[in-house]
Amino acid sequence: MISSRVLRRTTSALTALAAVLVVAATAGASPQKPSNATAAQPFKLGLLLPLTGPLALPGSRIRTAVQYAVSEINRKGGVRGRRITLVTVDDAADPTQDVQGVTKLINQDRVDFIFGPITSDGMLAVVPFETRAKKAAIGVVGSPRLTPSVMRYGFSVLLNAGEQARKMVAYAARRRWTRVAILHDSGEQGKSANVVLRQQLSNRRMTITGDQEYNVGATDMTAQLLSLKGGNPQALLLFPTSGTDVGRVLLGMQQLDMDIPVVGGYGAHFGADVARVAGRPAMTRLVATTYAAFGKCPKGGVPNLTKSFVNGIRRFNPDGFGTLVPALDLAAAVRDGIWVMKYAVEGARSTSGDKVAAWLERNSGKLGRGLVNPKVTANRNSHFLFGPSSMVLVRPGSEVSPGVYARADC
Amino acid sequence: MEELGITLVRGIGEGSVYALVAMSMNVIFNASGILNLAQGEFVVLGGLFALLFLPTAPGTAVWIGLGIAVTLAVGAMMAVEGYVVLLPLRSSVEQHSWLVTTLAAAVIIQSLILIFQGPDPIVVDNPFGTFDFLGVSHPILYPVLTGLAILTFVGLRWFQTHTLLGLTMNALRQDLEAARAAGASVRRLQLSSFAIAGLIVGATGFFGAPLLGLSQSAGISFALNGFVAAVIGGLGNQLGALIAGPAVGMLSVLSIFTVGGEFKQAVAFALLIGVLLLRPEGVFGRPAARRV
Repeated sequence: MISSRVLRRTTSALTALAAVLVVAATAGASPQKPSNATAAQPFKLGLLLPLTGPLALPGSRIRTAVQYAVSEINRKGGVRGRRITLVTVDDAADPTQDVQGVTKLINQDRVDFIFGPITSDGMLAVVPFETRAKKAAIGVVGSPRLTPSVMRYGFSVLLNAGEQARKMVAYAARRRWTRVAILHDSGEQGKSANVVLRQQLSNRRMTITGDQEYNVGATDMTAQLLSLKGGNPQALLLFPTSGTDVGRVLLGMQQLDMDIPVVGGYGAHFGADVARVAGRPAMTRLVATTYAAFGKCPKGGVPNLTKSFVNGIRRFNPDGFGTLVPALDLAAAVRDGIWVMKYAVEGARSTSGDKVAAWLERNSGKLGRGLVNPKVTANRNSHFLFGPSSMVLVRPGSEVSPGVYARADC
Repeated sequence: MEELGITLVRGIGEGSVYALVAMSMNVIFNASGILNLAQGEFVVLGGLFALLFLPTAPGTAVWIGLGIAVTLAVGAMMAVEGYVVLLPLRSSVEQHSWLVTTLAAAVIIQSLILIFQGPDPIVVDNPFGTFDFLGVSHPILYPVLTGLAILTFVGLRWFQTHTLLGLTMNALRQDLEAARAAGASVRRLQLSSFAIAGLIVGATGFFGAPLLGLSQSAGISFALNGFVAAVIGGLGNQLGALIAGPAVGMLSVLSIFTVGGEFKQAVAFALLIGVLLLRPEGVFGRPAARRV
């Protein structure tokens, strides 16, 4: 039997040990090191991307670019000392699933920032939820309808479809074409680009010989093309989403013996995707908009930052690099967007949407350093990070190095 | 004339794909009362096998031989799906668990394609080139698909009227309980219907691959358009499906010429609603008597 004296000594020793442990623990959590406690919390970045469904291919490319940017930022200390962790939701490019996804990211996962969605329809669906929760977001959307009054705390890394339309019409005017036809897809971006194309053509007193639409992913557009051919246009202004669709359009034109130039929006520049369907010879008269960092004039060179980005992402994901090549410019814009997020959160000293948006509207012009697309031009009137100065026209059939195309507007 | 050429060749060709999917749906529906929601995914599987196994420049013999092999493989796969779908039903069609199981099969197939093939569109080269008709050059595969639809219809007709298996499957359509009471092996017959439907959509996917917009998520559009053709023609009526499919295809193309491409899909569904309002049993369907 244990004596009461031994019991008392043991109790005293245990009490003392407990006191020492409490003191040690308190010292470890003393107010002298507040940043350590904050640093322990990761910066949660919610991804709302289509990893299944009709846009799974661009969705997977964008995810790779985000992962690359996150690895770069985490290597350099994260966002305000917090490592970025990704919380991914697959929206299957469906606005209904976007709403469910954004609700989950905001209320359940309590993310600090959201990247996505990648369709304008999806963005229009989620902005009310993001605005209510004061959640800042960057999407990959191009509809000119997405003005700062619509997406108050939302931004986009994609080229504005309205600006692309202006560029396309300006190119047509420089070529002295007076009669053009319009073909666009059924997405929100295609429809809104069509409105701007019509306005711009009307402003320049050019004749619209026809206007047709096709469903995204359609395989035979010859009926639309034949209807347009009847108007005898000098060129076709094409606003697509995917390179595969563009390939089908070019095949249809060949079968109709419709040999006119095609001036395409951003979706038409995915050279390898177009070539897989129509072949390189069909692309000789195709011109498309893309990011300036990925267009090369005959006398100019490829910017060093573009080269180092291409090499960097190739090292980061050597197995998936081949899939990424047609969209390296998009990957670079996405990577830049994640860096802009870091700068904005650090500049605003907050993740609150109103503060981040206000900071970006005032300071985006100072953010170019280290970005592949150095001209960040978001402001109070436009939340598109990369404006007309970041946009050029290229020949998707003339790839001069991986993802870099010969300029058509030098 | 060019418009006529496109409407006839491409409208009928595209509609033939709807007809083939509709006929395959009817085979299963007649034997089991089930509408297989995974039907479109098996079209995609047929096309995926074409992408994986067709050499760069296949001769006609290789193309047809491989097509037959793929057709048989997809038929076997759909029989497996049928087994899973029929398992909880115990041959009854009173329950509606098939809605969940066929939808689950569609999702599983989509996911498997995504895992093993990735998200890239399934782009298969057209090995047979084009032909000129009314001033426009058309892929030869369009009339091939129309021929396949007619061949399938004739084959099914012969099967259902000249073979014991086909005749017994007809009996299922008329009265499942009576057929069982007469000693018919209902489960085996229903499984056979899934296999036959698999043969049809497997062949459609393989031979039509260069023309069809195939991707891991494309199955639903084939199922939807096939369903439209099946309902307009009269659910279960193979002649109705054979005629309704190309009719929908031609009307879709005509709508592009007359009202614009944005109304292409809407026209097909407007036609469906119109037929359902005027003839709920479909254009070629017969009103079913109801026992009271």
